[in-house]
Amino acid sequence: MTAKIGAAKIIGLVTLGVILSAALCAAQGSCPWVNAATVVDAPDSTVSDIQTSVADAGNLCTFRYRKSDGLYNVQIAVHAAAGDGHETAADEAQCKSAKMPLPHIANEAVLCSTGAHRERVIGRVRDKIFIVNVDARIEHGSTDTEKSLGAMATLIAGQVAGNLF
Amino acid sequence: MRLLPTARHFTSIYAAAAWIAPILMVSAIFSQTAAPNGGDQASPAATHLQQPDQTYSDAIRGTYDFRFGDDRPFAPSNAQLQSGEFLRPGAFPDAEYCAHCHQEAYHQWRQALHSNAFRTPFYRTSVNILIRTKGIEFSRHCDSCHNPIGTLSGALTQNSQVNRKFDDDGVTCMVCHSIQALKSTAGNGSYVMGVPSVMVDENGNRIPGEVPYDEIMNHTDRHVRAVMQSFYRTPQFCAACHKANLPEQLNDFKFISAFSTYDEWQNSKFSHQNPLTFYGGDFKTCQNCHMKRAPITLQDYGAKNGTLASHSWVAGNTAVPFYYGLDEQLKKTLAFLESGEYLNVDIFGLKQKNSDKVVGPLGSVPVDVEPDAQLDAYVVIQNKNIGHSLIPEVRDLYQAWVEFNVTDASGREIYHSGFLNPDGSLDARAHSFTSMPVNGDGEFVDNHKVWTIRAAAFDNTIQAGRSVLIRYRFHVPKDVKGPISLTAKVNYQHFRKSYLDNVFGKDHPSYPVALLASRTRTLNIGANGPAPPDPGDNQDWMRWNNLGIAYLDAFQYAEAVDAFGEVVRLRPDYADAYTNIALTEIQWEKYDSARASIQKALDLNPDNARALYYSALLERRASYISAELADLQEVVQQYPQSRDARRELGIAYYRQGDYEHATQQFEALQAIDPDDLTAHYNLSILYHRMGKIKEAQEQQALFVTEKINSDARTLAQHFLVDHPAVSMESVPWHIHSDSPADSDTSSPLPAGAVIGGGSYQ
Repeated sequence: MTAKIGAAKIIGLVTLGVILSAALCAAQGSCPWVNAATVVDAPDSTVSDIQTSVADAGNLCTFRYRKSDGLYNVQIAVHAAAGDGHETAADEAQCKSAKMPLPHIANEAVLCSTGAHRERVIGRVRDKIFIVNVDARIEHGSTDTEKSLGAMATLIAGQVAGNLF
Repeated sequence: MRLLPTARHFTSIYAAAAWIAPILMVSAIFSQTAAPNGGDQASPAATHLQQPDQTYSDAIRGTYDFRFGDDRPFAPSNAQLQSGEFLRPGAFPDAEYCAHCHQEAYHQWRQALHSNAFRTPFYRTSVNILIRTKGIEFSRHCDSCHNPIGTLSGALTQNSQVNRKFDDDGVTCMVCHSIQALKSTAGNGSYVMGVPSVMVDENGNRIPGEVPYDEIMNHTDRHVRAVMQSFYRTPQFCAACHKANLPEQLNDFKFISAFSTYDEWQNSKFSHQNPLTFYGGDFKTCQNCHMKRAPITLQDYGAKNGTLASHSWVAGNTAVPFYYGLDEQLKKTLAFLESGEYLNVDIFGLKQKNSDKVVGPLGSVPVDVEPDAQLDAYVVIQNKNIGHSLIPEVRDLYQAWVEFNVTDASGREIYHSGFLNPDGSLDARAHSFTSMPVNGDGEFVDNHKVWTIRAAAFDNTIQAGRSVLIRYRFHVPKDVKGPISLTAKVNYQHFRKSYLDNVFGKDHPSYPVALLASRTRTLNIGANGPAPPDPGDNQDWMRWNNLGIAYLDAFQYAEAVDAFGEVVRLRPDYADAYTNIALTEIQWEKYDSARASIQKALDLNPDNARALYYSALLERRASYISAELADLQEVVQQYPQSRDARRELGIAYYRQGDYEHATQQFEALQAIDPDDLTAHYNLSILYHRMGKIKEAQEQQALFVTEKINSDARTLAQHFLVDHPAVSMESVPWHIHSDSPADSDTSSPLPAGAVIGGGSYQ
């Protein structure tokens, strides 16, 4: 049993190492708000096929990767607030669940679900609006997927807001 | 089943399969995995490791910016790793792991400032400016204490790929409990971090990372040996982070002292290390006030007799618990601040217009209040029982101030100073215990951009055990309806509004204001006889003594001598009263009368170290060298940690040509305070005389960088000239009044004279 575990761990490590190093090479610059390691934050999973893209001078970051249970897509968007007090209305309108306040993250920050396996955090830091979308195409679903996706979105949002402050 | 290896497995895997190391290094950087919390982990007996994860460290080294030198990876901080190898974040067992057995400590920690040391918007706003303007490497100066795992894991470098999940946890259990040594009391993270371990093996070797809980429960002694050090209970431990300076590496300028809470404690009555305090008291450490034992409500194996040393570290910060909605911590903090134990507010006396006489102490002497009179109220604030200054750290961000108001019986407000404006900002003419740092252009450094600070326009505080006098001038209306009430309060707020605006923009709620202390006196219109004191009032001799201390610190020597003279009248047996007169006269350069006063003190108490110290200064003046030496030797004998006694004894030896003993004293002084300028200066000369050229040059360089910036006063003046509304606060004594014409100071000292503080110099 111990040997099997060890072998699995070696395979897992090699896979992760190859994939992540490849992802590093493929990244188009660094996302200024959060790094790939924190987005993936996968101590218990194999992660593969990470793709990072950064556009709009760092204001749009996308991380795509595969975990053991499916494909993940994390998108972070940052833009200037219009100053009319309704900056997040359109983004919040897409929420299909109750909006859970995240006052410890940023001004007016909320977490909501925008669909099956789709979690979103919207918040504001001074004159910047940020949106974190976590979208998972779950192939081997578990009962707490939504909960963990929400926690994941919150963790990433905390990093984004922290760097925006 | 976990598919990623544990910290222990990483090493063994790499040893067996070196060919995949380059790939695995990337994995190691990304992964934060520590050993599992239980169940499927290997036995610690089979996984003893004394070394950190070398592969991880090597990988970090490959991309890390050693901007400040290979030998100082964490500069501009003083943090150091015992092994010299970067620690993987997962090497620190996280707080949840500790919580399994220490639920109470975890619960407290999660709400405390230590766990929120990094993530708060208040901190991030400041450190992000540093990162954006100078680079993330410079943030090691701050994060060595605010985010030690981020610092020691090598995450603070450009394009780091270290998982930053730990950001939310700030200073974790295993950060403090893995520190193996202290470098000095220089602060700036002057700790030596060992490999985090919760157990030692049977030979005392540290076992890295997590181990099964049953192993700990079976060998609690070995757990204690791994996570506890005797120095954790000392103030020196706190000094590692609760003292800070701005080194040249950070500001490209020179050393500037930032805050020195440890030094303030060491100079306070609570340390029993300073013979020169005005009052005595029981020995207390930082931990005695900020980690008081309290009954537990949750299970905790660290509890003794049902109590645990508090891991809430309740102190002054109300903003963080307010922001996060940590109601328990906020309640504890407000209760701590508002306990009434720390300050004394004394509306001491009244002075009529065109009179030099202050009528006081109020309540003990008769006083007349007439309609249409102009009165000056003399309010004395005593830092009675804080083991450091008010405000001790970053007093450019927080604000404590005096609110003074006078109302008549109809509720009409006659005078009000120190109010909060409707927008939350503080009355610009309030007396505040803050500092105002300025940059090289003489402009206020509003955003805590500490690396731009070049001087302090003013730095008002009350050091431990000392007092300040604040004067308020008001006019009693002709139609006043008596009696009138005079109320003085000391308020405290994290943070000042302009800093909150910097953090959040202008649309943030009002942050809590704590009432530290207050006193109200009600006076009839007409004659007032003596009135019984409130329970919290000082006795009259102490009221006079505090007034004398306040006069002394405001350079009003004649008034100070008079006030101390009243103490002598009330307590002729009190030796310190004579010493207080003497030390005032020494500063006033009236040495003959000082000698008479100090002799009276010594007649009452021949071995009194405080009197002997000032006696020695007078003997030096009179060239009684042997007496001077003998007295100072006695003071050092009684108080070996006294900076002042060590300094003066060193000078005494030096003047005698006894360079060896002089050197010993200055080295001892430097051991107490690594940044003592006198020690640097004299040691540079002494070492040079001894032929120790390298050591002399080091001391000379330290003196040059640590001495006060010669441009500081000029920069402060530039600011004060441009900001007359606040310039009054920089003058040692001044009058607060609604009438601008009355706000002129009679102080002969220049604006910008630092009277109580010492930060940002």
